[in-house]
Amino acid sequence: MNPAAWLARIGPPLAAALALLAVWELYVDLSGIEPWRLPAPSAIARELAAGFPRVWMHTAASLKVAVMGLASGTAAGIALATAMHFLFPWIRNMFYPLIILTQNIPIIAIAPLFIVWFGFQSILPKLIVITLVCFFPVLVAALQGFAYTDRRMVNYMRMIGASRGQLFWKLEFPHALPHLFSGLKVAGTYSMMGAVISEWLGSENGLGVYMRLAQSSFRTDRIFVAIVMIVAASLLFFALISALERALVRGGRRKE
Amino acid sequence: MLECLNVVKEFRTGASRLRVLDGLTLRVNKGEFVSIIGPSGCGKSTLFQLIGGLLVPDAGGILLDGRSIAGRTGHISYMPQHNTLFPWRTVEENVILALEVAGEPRRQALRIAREWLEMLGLGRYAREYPHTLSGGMQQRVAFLRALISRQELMCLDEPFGALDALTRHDMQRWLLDIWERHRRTVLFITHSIEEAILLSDRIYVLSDKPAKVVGEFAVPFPRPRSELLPEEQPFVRLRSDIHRLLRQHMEKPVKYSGKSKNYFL
Repeated sequence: MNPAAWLARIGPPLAAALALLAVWELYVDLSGIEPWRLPAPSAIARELAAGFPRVWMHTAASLKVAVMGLASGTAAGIALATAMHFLFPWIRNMFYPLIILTQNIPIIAIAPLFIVWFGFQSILPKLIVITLVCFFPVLVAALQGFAYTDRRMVNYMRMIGASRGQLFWKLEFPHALPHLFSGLKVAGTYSMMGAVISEWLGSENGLGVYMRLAQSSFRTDRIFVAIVMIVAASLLFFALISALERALVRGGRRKE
Repeated sequence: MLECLNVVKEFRTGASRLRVLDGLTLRVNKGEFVSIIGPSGCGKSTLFQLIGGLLVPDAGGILLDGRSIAGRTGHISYMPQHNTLFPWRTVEENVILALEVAGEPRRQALRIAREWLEMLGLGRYAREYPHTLSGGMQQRVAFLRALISRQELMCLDEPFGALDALTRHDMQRWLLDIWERHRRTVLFITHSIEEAILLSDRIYVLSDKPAKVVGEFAVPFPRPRSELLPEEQPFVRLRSDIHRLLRQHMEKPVKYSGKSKNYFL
């Protein structure tokens, strides 16, 4: 994309965000609201700069666990989708409700269980939580991608004698890739959220811990600093996954 | 050599049965170009799915070189009507698909594909993705994909059906030229009588559902066939003979019989 086109796309949302920040700044200035209720954007920026080493330490911890959880969640999602796709429908029907059930239990309710089982210091409770959050969008997207494979292409492959494995690797899997990536983008955003929630519930460091400490000392500015970092991390994940998609999804299928 | 002997196929939906093929018999000799013409929806594509092994006949036999291939896939090379090039593969990667499925090493398959693409004047498209090609070009690639696969029998299912008249005419000449040089065994489905006569050695005419062979025509014109052949008297006569036969066996106009009142309950 050339700079002009890039500016044309990024310009309007950027202008909207800046306008929103300006209104916020002005409101805080004019209304004289206490900083512990609502800090001004400029105050949040100052706090971010002043406390950056500490914020970065927590952010790095969150990023690490989020990336690990995203990786294991994605692997689990693809593996499970592949297994369910290959197996007979009745097995799929048997397990699908169970899988949906894992999404109905609030993380807040099960995370403490993992902390009880695996300990406060262990990374495992956090990893399990993030994996549970991340595998579902990947699984659903992959299953959908497999199921929506063009019937005429499937017929063609079978006619010319493709085995079940060839059908999967040469047709169904590449066909599902764009679907898989839309699931992955959702999972990428979820992974940071999962990390923060699990850290909030019990951890030694991470943005969740930073937020809890900020909250208990009424440092509202720091809560906003944490939000800024979470948003930045989520955007980064999204950008990285999009870049990977551009590299892996070939031919005329990107706009699907 | 392909033989279909008294092939019967029915589809059951609930209690009702729909007979699609009713004792169909035909043969395609080695190196022969045979076309099948029939009213649209007469079960031509079902026949290909039977020959391709995706469906199993309810009665009758499907033999390739004397051995039954009923219900067994991988014995034919196939070109479908609609574009089934994989959009994530380049032209040359699409061309080698059938060879890959047959277990040919990729490097060697690609070499063969590139040679053929050059030979057919498609060399400059080898690394392009299919969506950048016109409909006619895409079908050329799909044809080449079928042509270079190892199976002797090529089944072409209305390969030019979705093309405009001008492109279609070009494609017929192109196919004729290649076929006359390479002489593969071809079974060709079309609903264009002219296309069938221009390309084939023999033509089978099918009736409407349930389909069976109602006529067989040998096409006596020598090869290579000239551009002007369709204007010659014998060609025109053969075309009207086939046309008349086809009309006789088309579905009668649907009349309201009064029996369909259950439909609204």
